[in-house]
Amino acid sequence: MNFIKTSLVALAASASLAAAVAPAHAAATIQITSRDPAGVGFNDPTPVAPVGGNPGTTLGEQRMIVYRYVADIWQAQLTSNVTITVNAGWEALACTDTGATLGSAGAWNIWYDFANGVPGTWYPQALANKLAGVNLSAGIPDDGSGYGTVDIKTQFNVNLGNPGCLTGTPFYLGLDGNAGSKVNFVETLLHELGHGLGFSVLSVQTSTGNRINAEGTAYTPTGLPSIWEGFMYDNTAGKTWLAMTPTERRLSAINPLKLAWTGPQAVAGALATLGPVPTLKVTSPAPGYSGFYDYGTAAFGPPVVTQSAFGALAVVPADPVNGTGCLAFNAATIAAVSGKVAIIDRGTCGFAVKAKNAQNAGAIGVIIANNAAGAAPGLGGADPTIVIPTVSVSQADGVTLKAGVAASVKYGTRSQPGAMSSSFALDTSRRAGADAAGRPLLYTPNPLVSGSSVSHWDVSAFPNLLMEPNINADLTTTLVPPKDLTFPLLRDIGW
Amino acid sequence: MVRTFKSYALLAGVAALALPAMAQEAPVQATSNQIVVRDAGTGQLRAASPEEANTLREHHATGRLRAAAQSTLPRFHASGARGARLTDEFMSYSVVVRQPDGSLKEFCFESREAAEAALKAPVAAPQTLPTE
Repeated sequence: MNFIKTSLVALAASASLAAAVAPAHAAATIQITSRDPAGVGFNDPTPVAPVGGNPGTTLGEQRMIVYRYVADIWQAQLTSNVTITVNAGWEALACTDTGATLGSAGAWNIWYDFANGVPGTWYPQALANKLAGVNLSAGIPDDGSGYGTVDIKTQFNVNLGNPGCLTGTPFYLGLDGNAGSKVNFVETLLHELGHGLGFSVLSVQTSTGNRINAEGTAYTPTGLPSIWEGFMYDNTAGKTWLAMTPTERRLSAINPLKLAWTGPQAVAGALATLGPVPTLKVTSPAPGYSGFYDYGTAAFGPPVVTQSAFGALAVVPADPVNGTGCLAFNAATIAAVSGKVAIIDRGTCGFAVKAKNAQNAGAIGVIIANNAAGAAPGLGGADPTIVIPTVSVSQADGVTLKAGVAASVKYGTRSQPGAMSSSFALDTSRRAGADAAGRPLLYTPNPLVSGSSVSHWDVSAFPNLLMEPNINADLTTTLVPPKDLTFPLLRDIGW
Repeated sequence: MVRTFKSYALLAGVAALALPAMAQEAPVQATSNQIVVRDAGTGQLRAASPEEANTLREHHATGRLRAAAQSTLPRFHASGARGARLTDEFMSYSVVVRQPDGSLKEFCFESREAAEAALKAPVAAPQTLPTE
């Protein structure tokens, strides 16, 4: 049996909580309904101490207060004459001792061909209702679930923190962000409700590029587009998803750092929000080599410190027999790299092996030059004895840097050859997480990362954004620039 | 991750109904008595036979949909708007995984399958980076 009730009704008996759960004055109203049975989830009577500004005295009360708190954050931004409905439940979701499905959320109903929408285009119901000015689901009989017509369905893991379910690490139900070693429920819910309100490509199957058909029954090559697609511009293809074939959309979804959001609100917001790009800055006396180079970081050695010196560059000679940098360096190479940053081609042996050999030769840092096309790779491996920083560059940049080292020599003297210097700097001409035109990038890893693609901002965004696929610990509850780009994107699609 | 529309057959000896739930909710306006099914043979929507319609009504009456919705449902509005009620296959999923260094890493996925796969094979951990 389902117990449907609004959050306000559920908590009305507790006068002390009234102030905490009443919706803030807003231009939209979000109504939360619970489907939890007695004694479970929102109705869990387990006594708890107030925490982090959450005054609830039972586990169930505290859970609902977080929901209300997050809903208030959203409704303070949104405008709609139609009440936004969210159904919520606490259920047993997948768990292991070291991990858990925290929860899920999404638009539960979608619409097209309503007043004030783009014709023939799928929208999430909450946004469709706002644009149409009516509740499109009004009068539709329930499907037997008790929540069949709601805008957004959510569910979260009732067992989190219990033995066998990320043992000992429950949700943090405080409102102050001080989650410590617990899972910050406010941020998790804030993110997931964002998907339900429209931060999602919604009706496109990214693994095929197919769209939900007009009947709402299947992904097909001739399905209807999502309101997102007109704003999704692939810099390689030179067109939006709206103009693509399913195959083109599938390929665009795995085109790293090339799929940009063109909506004017988010683009303007990116300029105010995203910081300059951390980069390897190289200076050479030889013309044509100075500039900014993108780099990847290593899992071993000390972390890179932005805006710090790295060192003069030197090249470790190629060794096609043993692998460049894979053996202890000979005397000539030691002389070349001692006190400098060693550029070493990727291949044959581990990154950490190369770094350790360079360190043993007196190098103060290492640049691994990729040996295949593509972006600078992340460098895996482990060696706790490595104390010099290591980064990577792309194959093309590696070729340029090595040529620059050679070209710089003649700009010095016989006793003091010219050299290329390097530092970790910020490229203020670019925005971290945006394309060259300053448009924020969507997450398009290749290969497709287990379904987390496209409906998020790219992970290169800096500072971190709420709607990246990784929910980072340094997020705030602000949804607008200069802190975040969530609401600007939603405004672009009609909010 | 591939999201699929789940289906099941309702009537033995009759063409399998790919989307039985479509007919379990009456359209709002003029078509309120119309019950349609997808013919498993042709893949096309067609009016339900009286037997199929009765089975669907009985299915609705038993309340079996109180379990997680397995199929999408069509939506109709008097204005001409069309819609669909989705299923859990369309939800976004948050997952947390403890990393080798003891820290927690939280991810968001677009399908339940992807979320549960992440629990079995933690993603983006340093070990997943190339080492040479």
